[in-house]
Amino acid sequence: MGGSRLPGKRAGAGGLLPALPLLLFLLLAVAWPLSHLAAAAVTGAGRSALAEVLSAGRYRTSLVNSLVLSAAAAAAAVALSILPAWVLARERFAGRRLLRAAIALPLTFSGVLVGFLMVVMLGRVGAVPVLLQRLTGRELLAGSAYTSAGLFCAYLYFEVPRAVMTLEAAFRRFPGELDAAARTLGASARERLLRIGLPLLAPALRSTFALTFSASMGSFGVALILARRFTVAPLEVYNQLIGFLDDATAGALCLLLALATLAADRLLGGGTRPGAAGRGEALSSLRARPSRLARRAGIAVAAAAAALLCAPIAITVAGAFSSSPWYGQRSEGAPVAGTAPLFRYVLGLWGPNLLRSAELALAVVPLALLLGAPAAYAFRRRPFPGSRLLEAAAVAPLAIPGIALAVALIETAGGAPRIALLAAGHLVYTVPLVVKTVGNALESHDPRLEGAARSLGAGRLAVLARLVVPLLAPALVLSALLVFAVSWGEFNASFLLATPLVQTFPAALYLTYTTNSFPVAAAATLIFLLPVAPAVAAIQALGGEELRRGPQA
Amino acid sequence: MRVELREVSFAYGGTEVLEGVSLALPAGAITVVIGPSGSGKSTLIALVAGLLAPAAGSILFDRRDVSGLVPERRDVGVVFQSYALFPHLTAGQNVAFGLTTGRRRLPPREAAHRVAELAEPLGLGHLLARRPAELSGGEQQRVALARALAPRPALLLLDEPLAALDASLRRQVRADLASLLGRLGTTVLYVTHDQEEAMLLADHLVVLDRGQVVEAGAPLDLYRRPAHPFTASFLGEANLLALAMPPGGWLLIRPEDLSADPCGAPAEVLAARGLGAFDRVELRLPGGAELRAHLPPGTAPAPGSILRIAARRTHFLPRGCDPGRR
Repeated sequence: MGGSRLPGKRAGAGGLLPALPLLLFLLLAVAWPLSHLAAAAVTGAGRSALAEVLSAGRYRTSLVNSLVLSAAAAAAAVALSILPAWVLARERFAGRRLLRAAIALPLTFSGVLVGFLMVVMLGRVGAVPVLLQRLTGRELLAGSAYTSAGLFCAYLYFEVPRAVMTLEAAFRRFPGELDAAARTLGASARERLLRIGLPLLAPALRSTFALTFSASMGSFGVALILARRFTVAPLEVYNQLIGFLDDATAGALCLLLALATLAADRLLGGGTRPGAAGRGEALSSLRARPSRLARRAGIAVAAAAAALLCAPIAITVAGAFSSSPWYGQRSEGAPVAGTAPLFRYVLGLWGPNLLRSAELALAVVPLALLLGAPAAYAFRRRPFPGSRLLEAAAVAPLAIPGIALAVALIETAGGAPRIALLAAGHLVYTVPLVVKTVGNALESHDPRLEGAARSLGAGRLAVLARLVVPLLAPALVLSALLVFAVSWGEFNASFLLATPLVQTFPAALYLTYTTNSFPVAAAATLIFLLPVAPAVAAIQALGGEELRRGPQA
Repeated sequence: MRVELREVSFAYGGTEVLEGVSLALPAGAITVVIGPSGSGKSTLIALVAGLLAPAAGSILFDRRDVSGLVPERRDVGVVFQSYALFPHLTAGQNVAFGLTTGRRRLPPREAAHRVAELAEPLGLGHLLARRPAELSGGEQQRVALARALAPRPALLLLDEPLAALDASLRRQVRADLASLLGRLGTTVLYVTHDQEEAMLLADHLVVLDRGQVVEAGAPLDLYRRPAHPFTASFLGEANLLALAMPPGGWLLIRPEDLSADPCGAPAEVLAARGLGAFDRVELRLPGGAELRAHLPPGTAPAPGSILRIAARRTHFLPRGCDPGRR
């Protein structure tokens, strides 16, 4: 009798049904293309391409550059993020929410936007060199955006928000009582940090490093804008594919990139929850009390980080309204001296792409919820043999560079309609967010509630409609917002998956950054930001820490 | 070490948790603070340990004001309600923690000796290599106690150390704890909401309610001769009969002090139930007042019958002593 079963831990096959669509999707859109990529790289032409990539030369240099730069940037990002994350997690002060939102906003930016912001700051006539010239009379740092240092700064720009969000969540879960216990046992602040804080937070620091390292390894959009005197692996993939039509070399590079990020994720990831001892919630008011000076310094550092992250956005957005000569000619294409004509011109140029992105997001949001939410429910409430594996497989694609996935999809399913490939690419990176968000929400609710409802006479459907869905409503709204934000900003996979005729708005941003004048680029950027900023604010209000898995840079 | 709190107040998030609390812990004795949840007991422990700073008032250790002293310099040991064991260290490393840090640091050999010395009477010898997650609740509790005791603190603070254990285990651990703390000779501050625990452990008992001390004294004195109705009803079952004639007040009759007596007052039996150790009987006096009596097992009359009862001991609580704040 099925009705007598308690919704809980028992493994049965009943949970497979809600997870079946996800399983089919993963097989079709992830497993098949990636295994094809791997198989192609070790047979025939792929084999010699792999050997060539691994031998000394341009390709190996690009891989080594990617590895070194990503590791250095990830280490720096983790180090820089510790204090702001600690302050956001443990301190209450006026403006905390605003600060948090300001740090989180860049999480929704694609790499091309980040690259453009770097040009705004450190390009040949970037804000920083211009300011330095006014102050010192000498030309300093001009064009440094295009060097390896510029790429490093760009990596930091999208890594620091990811690291702050991840670490903040870990710090928030850190049991304050352990620090209190160590104090009463006589340990000084330094010893508490070395013997309690660091050992317990080490897993979180490691997994933050893995997350940011993977983000940089796969970062394609940034390099597309910035890497002029310097090459990194994702850029070489693009060059081989588009420039030389060399699928084998591109495939080999993609495989190595995906292996590096997956290895980082497996070896270092998965430890953002420090184990809490005991089960007491007592003394919740009991927190480590930093000195007033340390508190102020921490808040100042967090505010400085937020200001640095927001400065290029503010400068760019101002460019859509200002007629300052620094921003360059405002009369591109049409008599667009005023602001309204400028926006009309930009909408005329990129309107179709804007519509394409909106359409895509409108399709991807419900599809991602339908694929992810029932599966997450099955994983938590009706586990079946292999459900843990499937859950891990659903989340794993987050560590795969978008460009590698795009190449794999084109190699295997290139004949499918491009809009379907685009949607698949977006779903691969958004379904994991739904699985995680809904899964976390389910974990926070007592599974016995469903048993209680059943015992009160509610049937399966009634339990679903009157208990499960209402309880999950905030998580579903949050998931929808996350999916929208990622889909709206996705560039790396979309750029290769779309034909020129169906390019999404972030791809239009890339074209406008490389071909149009600054005011046009600024207006387009502002149009991109308009739906994103409120979405980020709403996500923050709902406590969405998965935003750190925003679109790849 | 003698500990004294003078007019200590503490507020958290705009609400007063403790209001002008004054109490003294006699040196070398076990002081139990008892109160319902939310009365400010845990906050009291955190203040004495130095984990929180009082908003007003002072805390004295042997007449020395320690109000501004950080916890690592107070020479206290704390057993937290959740135990707060370090999850990444073994039980042995947890116990040794206070001996390998700060001012109470010992040479490694002495520290190891001290750990072994504590582990033996607490039955931890075979558990020292395990991590907290691999220990049962009772074992975790003993590790937490050993860790707090290891540096020989001048003051031991225990925050509901038995609350996380299930009922059958609690009875056993309570008895062990009573004998251990009794032998220790350290000044102990123990907070609990459990009346039996308080009566069993306390040399000196303090009743706390809504952030204020209701009264303090020897446990049996407070049980038999409380000054406040709150103390009377919180420390066990109480019949409190309101007296109408001036100056007004209450008559306290404990249920076990009532017994059948042919010369006693006639009372109607409303309900009766054998509980094993005694029979619990609900009675109504002719005036309408209701009483609860504990009678020897098997002697309870049937409901509806009349039982003549008398009280062996009564205690009068004058109205003036009722804390007007309520």
